[in-house]
Amino acid sequence: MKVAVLSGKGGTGKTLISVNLAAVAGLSTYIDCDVEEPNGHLFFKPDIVREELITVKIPQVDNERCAGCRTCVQFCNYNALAYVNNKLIIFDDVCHSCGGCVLVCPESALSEMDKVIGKIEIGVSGDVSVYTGILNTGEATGIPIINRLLEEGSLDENKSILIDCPPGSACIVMESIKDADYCVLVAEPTLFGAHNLNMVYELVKLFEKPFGVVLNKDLNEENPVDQFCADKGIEILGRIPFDHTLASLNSNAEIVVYKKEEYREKFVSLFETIMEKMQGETPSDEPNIVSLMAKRQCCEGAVNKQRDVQRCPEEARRSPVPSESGNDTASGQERMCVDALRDEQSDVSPGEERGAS
Amino acid sequence: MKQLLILSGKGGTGKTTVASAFIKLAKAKAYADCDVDAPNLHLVTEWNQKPVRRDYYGLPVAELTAELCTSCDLCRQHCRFAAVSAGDPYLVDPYACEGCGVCAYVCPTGAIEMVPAVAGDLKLYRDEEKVFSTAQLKMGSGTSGLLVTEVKNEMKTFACDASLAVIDGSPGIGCPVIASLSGVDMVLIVAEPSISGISDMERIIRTAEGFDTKIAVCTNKHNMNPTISEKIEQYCEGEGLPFMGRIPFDPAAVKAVNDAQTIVDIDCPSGVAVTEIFENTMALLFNRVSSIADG
Amino acid sequence: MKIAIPTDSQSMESTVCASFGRAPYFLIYDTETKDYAFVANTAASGTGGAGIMAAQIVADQKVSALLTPRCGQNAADVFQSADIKLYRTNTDSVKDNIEAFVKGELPLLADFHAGFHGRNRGGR
Repeated sequence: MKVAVLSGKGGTGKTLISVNLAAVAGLSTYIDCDVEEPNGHLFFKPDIVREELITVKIPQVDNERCAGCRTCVQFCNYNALAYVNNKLIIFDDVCHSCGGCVLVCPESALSEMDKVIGKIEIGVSGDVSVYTGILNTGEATGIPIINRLLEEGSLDENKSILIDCPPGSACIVMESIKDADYCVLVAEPTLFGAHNLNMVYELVKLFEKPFGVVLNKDLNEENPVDQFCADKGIEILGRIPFDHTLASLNSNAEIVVYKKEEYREKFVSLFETIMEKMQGETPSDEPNIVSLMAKRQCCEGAVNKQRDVQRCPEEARRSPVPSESGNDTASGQERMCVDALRDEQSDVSPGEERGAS
Repeated sequence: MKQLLILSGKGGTGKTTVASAFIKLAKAKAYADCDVDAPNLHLVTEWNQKPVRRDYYGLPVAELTAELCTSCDLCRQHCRFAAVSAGDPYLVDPYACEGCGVCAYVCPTGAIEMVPAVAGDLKLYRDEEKVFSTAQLKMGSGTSGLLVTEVKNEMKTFACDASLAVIDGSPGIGCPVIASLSGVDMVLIVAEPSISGISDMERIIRTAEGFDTKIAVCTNKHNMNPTISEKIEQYCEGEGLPFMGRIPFDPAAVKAVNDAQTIVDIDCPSGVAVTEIFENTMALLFNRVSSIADG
Repeated sequence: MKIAIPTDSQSMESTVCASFGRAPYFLIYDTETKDYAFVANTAASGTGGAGIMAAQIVADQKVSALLTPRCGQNAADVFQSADIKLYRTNTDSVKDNIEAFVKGELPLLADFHAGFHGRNRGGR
């Protein structure tokens, strides 16, 4: 079973939650898909068993054959090629490895070679197998690394697999959650936290993944995230209270469940809750969503590249706005915050000014 | 106009909290939120009117006309992004499509066309004296340096006589960060005192060093781990990076944000600390004018 | 000698555009004949690799020098291959920069920033 841990933004405690869940899950696998800022290995300090360099294909030119027709330069939508002084120049840092230039060259002057963009490290820390992806600085995309990580890390299906996703709701996150059986959304109890939670909430709904929320740094008082969850009918799986000792251990890259019994109990209970929720869900054979009407207006739809089923999920096109309920007791300022959020979520209203500049 | 970019390497270190306080303290007439994946700055800045919205178009995506498709499978075989799936008709997944145009090129019947696609939403708030530019990338769209560039351009276009622009940067070290770095006069890095915070800070400093800009550092929630906080300051000293100050952990800061206020709107320890950092930062930023003239 | 300058508008009174790759126009100016023309930068609205394409456009004008406030590494590579020299502008004014260039007062541009890496794999 695979559990993906995600949050709309970094720094909400995604790594804290996924690392400690993996640590209480018995024989487990921890996969760090946050390849731009991989931090999980700092906690597990694994003994590295294997390293693998990740490469992408980039073109190279045979200048003897190049006739200077510039067909490739014109074809490349990424502007990765230039032709000056009777010479073709290739910019591999903007190349998307689509292979188009090789295909269009009438002289067969282009071929492809491998370029390293980062690596994966596979290590062991106690009962936990630790899979880390590391993107080299200056490289713009980690998706090939994530794909390889998930492939490697998913081999042993009997283990509990915890996936530490990249922050945000961009395509790179979609890659990380597409095969997950359950999603844990981590949020902080602030206005920012509620706003960011809404983004990943829309994402998991789009993918029709079962999910629940963990509230981190909970101050045990009324907050916008509880309000948001109540409005949407989202279950809160657990709360990690704000606690100086925990924060301090965590900032020193210690795995808190190894350090203090009360934290162990907390995470064991959270893990068990997640397991129960997953039992309750029918295993997802979900005909994954396929946006593929490919009409732009359906672009809000969802996707799964591995399925051939077609459906335009109208229901996923726009999230409903938060309900008014529960606002009665809110102070003017709180109400203003909720309004700000709602304004953010709502689509462009018809009469609204659009365009210019 | 001097542009100050606030960066953190990772999200959640308090970038937006610092940026919103700076905007308030400077009475900034121009500011922008370049965190297009998860913009938050609009939640804590006061605007009564609605923004002007504009669609942001990314790369075009492939669109397949079913009636023309003969299911020859060439497009699927050539697509490097697994964006085409076989079937009747064939389908293109617009999220996976990277707009290279190879499928349209190989299609023998002209069934595939590359069409413009909306990838985000630009929003511009503006009145007689100030401007605020922000954007939200559509879910599932790839990170985009161009959207960040457009956010900054919109701000610059309407900045008028502003002497200072405050830019809330993007997290990470990828393309949007590089786009937000371009052309700024100074970068202030907000670091969190943790082992991972140090690692993230070093990565963002390495990224920023490639640019012609001044780099300074401050710490947020410094008292959460005084030992590491100290290490960050030592690191800065070793690297010759000016250290602007420390912000303590402050429950009042959470309260301020939840009330859509900045930390300098209320009387709290973090507000006092950020005011000092602001003054140090302004001194450094505007001294730079004379240092350029000298050089 | 033919030179190029990124400009904000199609006029000799224009200001120098702060960004090379995203400049709307390039002024192509002949320092001997004082003839000039403006070329639209079709790369400006591209999602990625704008600097490279912009450099290609300028290089195709067969200029010998580019006057610009800054330049990305990729575009600089194109200019190097094309034997086009880069000079750093010292004011906002197109006219003043041409004058300074003719007098030999503009320094060569030495630092190139890392560029935008404008790709956005996995999306648009």
